[in-house]
Amino acid sequence: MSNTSPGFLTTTELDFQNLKQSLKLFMSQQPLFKDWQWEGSNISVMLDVLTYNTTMKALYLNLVGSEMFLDSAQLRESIVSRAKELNYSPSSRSSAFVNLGVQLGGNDIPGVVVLPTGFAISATGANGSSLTFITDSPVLLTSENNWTANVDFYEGRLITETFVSNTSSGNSSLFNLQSANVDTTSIYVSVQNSVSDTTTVSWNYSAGFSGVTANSKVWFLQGYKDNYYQVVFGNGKIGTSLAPGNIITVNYRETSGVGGNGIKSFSPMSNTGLTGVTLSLTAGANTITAGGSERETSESIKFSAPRYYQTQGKAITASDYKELIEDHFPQFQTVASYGGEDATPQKQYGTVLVSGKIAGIDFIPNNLADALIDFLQPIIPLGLTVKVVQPDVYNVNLKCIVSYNPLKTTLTESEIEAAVINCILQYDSATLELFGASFWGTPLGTQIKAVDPSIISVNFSTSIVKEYIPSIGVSSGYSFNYNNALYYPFTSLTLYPLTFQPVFLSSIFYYSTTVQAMIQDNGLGVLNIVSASNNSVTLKAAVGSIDYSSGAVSISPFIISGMPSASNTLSFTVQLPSSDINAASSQILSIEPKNISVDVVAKNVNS
Amino acid sequence: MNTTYADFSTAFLQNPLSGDLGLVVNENAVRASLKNLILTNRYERLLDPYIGTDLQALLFETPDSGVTKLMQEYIKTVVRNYEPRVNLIDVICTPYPQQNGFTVVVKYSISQFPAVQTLSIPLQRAR
Repeated sequence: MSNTSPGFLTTTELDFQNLKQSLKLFMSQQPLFKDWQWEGSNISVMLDVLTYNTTMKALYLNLVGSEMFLDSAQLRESIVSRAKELNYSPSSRSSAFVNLGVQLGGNDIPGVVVLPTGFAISATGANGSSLTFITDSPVLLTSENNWTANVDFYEGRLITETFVSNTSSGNSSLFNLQSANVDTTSIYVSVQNSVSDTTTVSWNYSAGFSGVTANSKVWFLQGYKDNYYQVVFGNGKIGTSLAPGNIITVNYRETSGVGGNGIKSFSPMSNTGLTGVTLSLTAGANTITAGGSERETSESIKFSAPRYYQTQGKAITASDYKELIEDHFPQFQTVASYGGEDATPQKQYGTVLVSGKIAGIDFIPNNLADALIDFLQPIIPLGLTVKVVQPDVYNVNLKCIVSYNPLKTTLTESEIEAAVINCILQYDSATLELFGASFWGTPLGTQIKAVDPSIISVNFSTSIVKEYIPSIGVSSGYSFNYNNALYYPFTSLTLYPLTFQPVFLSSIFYYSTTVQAMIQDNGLGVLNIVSASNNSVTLKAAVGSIDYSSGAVSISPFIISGMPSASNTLSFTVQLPSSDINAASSQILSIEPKNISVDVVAKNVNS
Repeated sequence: MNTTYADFSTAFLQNPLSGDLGLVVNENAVRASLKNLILTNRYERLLDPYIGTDLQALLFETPDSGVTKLMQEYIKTVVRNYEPRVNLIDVICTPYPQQNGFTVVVKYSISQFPAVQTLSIPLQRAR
């Protein structure tokens, strides 16, 4: 509210009209000029100029004030800068990766062939787009291994930047990387003494000051401008400083992030650079690129930076682990960490369990798991150990019946169906796909109803699907927990089998080379392998058990001899009593397009 | 004479005696205000696009009766909306095609001052 005391001019308004009103109020308190209230007067024109000038200054001050604090900053550059004060470096893009078999051929192969860092292959996406995948370290192929190896390839291209340290420039320890699309986990820094002295030493990345002495040859990383990064060297007290004339070489991978995910087709480059040697690539049936992620959003930086600062670079509480992993491993879509006392089915005291979900795949590759351990081990309390557990991912199978009034819309049934599917997928990306994120039918129903005013009602039936890629011909058992009470309408188990409908069903697989089979429950908590064509024929009894109240499933090892050509996934589906699905802290629920079924029903109603 | 309205002059003229910023008062203040309104183009004033007329644009049209009528309407509208001190009596726009111009004569009275006032503004396009 304006102060109307004589002689007081309120200039805190940001709105032009309100500010002009304040000036008019001020003018009304002096006797000389009286025409300030008439828009045509000269004094009114002068008030306009004053108001505009004051508004501009107020806006500028407001902007400067806002951008000075992480909470209120709007510009990405300001957010990155504020985060830097908290020693927080925004997560960069990360490259999609894939593990492929490499085989060399030819009549005159040397005994040892080295594929250098940055050795490239070509990958073709489903839409025909072509991307390059490269190695991130040298790969040795020797005659002892028949010139074969499993090699990790990462999407992107290798960039090398060279800087010369010059103390006279006053900015000798700070070097800007030119690409905004750096995968910061790929940065490799080496320092050559000078042009004449070619002794070169690789320097290591340090996330903070902990353990860094004056003799530590380390570099730090910090955000710069919108999406860029700076490599920073020590000052001689914290980290070794650079000497004049040092030549700094920075290698890193420039990536397109999520654009590299989901690719299944790979081929060698036309020119591999290997003289007289042919190169062939082998990919498994389920091989697909994954792990590519986009750079951290401004909102995420605002959320994470203070929490990261809270950890002080040490992993003490469960949330510390989560924050530190999320910052250092951007390829994880979601991260979970919990103490061994909360582990199921068996408690693991003295152990911290960490897990993460990478976009596109449901497992953590071994090399990434090792990197996680290597990163966490030095910063956890003595006496604790870290263990990486694979994410426990469950798919939600959603059958949705949507009733709508055709008199209230111009959309066709197929358009409504498409809009509803889109709404469900948006709900999935916004609400699910995170550790411990439960599925609640009512909020989704409300969102679907909001898709179009013609939608009258929405009904769901849900089931949960656990999927595995089975090892063919190998005896394998399965143990998992749906963590939800299952659909079981009978009050007494002994009365059950009279009107039997299985609650638990697997997908079809070959139990012997010719017999198609599946696993189902018998209503008494026992799982049997039955014939797919006639489920009253039991092929193997009591292969496992199911607990209808807790959702725990245990299947003893058995051999799958093959999968139908249409599928290579073994899925286990259970029905649920309601549309709500509870997720434990180690579980991730996901809705995939293939698991959504929408039935749109027209209903003519008067209102 | 009481000073009912007081403004400073458009040309920032000095008071020859005191050297202060000169005042324009009463009928003269209203006249200056009226002239400002008529000669201001719409969208010229910051954040208040409706103040003013579009006479400058009309000077580049063929000076027929339609343009004359439009000119009158613009002037009446702006006076009605932004100069409540004035009772508008008549607006006469006379075209001078040979000179590519108009003469606008506004006849009005001011509530506190009974005499009929006349404001004459010659308009000529600048190029």
